[in-house]
Amino acid sequence: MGDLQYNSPKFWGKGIALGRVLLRLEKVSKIYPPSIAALKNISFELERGEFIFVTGPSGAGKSTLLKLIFGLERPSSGRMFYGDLDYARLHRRHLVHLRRRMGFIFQDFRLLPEKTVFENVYLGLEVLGVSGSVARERVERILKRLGLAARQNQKVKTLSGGEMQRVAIARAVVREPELLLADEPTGNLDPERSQEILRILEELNAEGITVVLATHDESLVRERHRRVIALQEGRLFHA
Amino acid sequence: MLKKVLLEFKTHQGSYGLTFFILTFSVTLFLFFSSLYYHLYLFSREAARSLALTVYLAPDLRPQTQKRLLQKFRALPGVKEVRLVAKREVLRELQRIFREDPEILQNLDLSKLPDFLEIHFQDPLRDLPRVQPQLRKLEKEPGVLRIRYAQSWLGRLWHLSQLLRRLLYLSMALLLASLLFLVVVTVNLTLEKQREEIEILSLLGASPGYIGRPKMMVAFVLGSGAFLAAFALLHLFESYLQGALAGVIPFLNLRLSLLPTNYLILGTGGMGFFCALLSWLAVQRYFS
Ligand SMILES: Nc1ncnc2c1ncn2[C@@H]1O[C@H](COP(=O)(O)OP(=O)(O)OP(=O)(O)O)[C@@H](O)[C@H]1O
Ligand SMILES: [Mg+2]
Repeated sequence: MGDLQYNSPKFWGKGIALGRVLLRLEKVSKIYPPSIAALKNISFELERGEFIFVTGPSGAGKSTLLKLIFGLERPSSGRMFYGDLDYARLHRRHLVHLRRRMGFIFQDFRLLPEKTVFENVYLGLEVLGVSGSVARERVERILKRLGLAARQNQKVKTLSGGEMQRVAIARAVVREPELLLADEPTGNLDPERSQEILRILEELNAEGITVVLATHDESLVRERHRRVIALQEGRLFHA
Repeated sequence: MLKKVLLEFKTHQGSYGLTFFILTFSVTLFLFFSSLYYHLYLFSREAARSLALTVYLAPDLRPQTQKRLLQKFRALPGVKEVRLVAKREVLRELQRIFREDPEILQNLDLSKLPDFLEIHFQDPLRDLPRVQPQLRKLEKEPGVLRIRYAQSWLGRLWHLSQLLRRLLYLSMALLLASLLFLVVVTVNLTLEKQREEIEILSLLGASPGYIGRPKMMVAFVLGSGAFLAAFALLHLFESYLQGALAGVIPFLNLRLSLLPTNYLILGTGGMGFFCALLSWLAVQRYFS
């Protein structure tokens, strides 16, 4: 099967065949110009329903790995499969469709500060083509669940860091993604808040969403018996 | 969708407002000149249709010579009809005109009155210049006194209207080019202002279409609205224009209300679609 076939819009009508393995990386490297090797020869598989941590010190390549998976960056070499689709070199136009199956919680939230909590979360659904009362109901449900119901008509710029973090999570999970990528979702939070966020993500995972969580906070990882992808200077060490 | 369009307009009120103003202004000017052209064209075409050639014949020609000449003129290319106007007919006509004072005619020497041929062409503006050399030869034929050519100012008017038409095409091209520039720049401006938002939307998986659709709708409304507004403006000043111009250019009868409804619909829709298309192109360019 050539890449050409996947690059044709027709392909997207059929969807992607998902087996047990949701994501597979084969010898993926990322070199930023001029010669910063952010990732070197990374290979691993991610099964559906898994919850894995990506750990490593600052600069190890955690964010780069998540961005590659999400299609924000392209690998310099290697192959990446989403289901049976090799998307390492997929056209940007089609990548958008793939992105709609995932949720990304950004380290810096990437919310629209001038819009309300509700509008921000609603946008996450609307770009998927879900709108109207169905979308509104889903947004309200997720906001309630994340303890944001009282804040829904407040502008995002007036929220605290922890609240913004939860809005970012709500926007990602309201889409009921197959794969949730969380980049330091507890980065700016105190330990108590961090645990709370993790509990929410684990709950979502229990409901079937596959989660990849990048963090440099070892304490979060330690007491949980989850698979860990440990990165160091762009190389992979299995823990 | 309507809410999105309204929001889009509200967010970029200034840019869109100014664009609308300029669009309306340029379309108004364009429509004004096209209606000038249109009426000049109608007038000169109507007038040109009646152009005829008059051939004065020598007095007291023998009927055979008259008939031979008549045949020669009839053989010219493009001739629709050749009519012989005999002296008697002219006399009768004169008598009718001067019914009230017949003594005027008694003082004239009417025996010198020539017969003449009136030659009508199918398309005088096309055919007359074509038969010019033949006419010059025919003028030397015995029995032909003189050929009076059709009123030449009409021909010139016709050529003027042709020139105007070319100018109109040119200004149409200019109008379209400036529309292109204006709309693309405006849409780019709005995209640039929303850069951060657009970046976030694309992260969420929004297609260029999702971001561009409200802009296209706004562009459509602006385009067709500008055309309607321009039309209304001209309509509003119609009586004023009529009063002001009627004295200067006598044959001009500005009747904008006569601009056919089809053209109104075509113009409104066309402008709308054109602007929407431009906005779409601008969005595509931005995302490529
Ligand atoms: N756009 C870029 N251009 C050049 N170099 C980059 C770029 N993005 C990341 N890098 C480099 O790649 C390496 C890995 O960066 P990355 O952001 O993935 O680290 P990280 O593990 O997420 O770190 P942190 O814990 O601080 O977020 C770093 O050395 C960084 O400087
Ligand atoms: Mg990072």
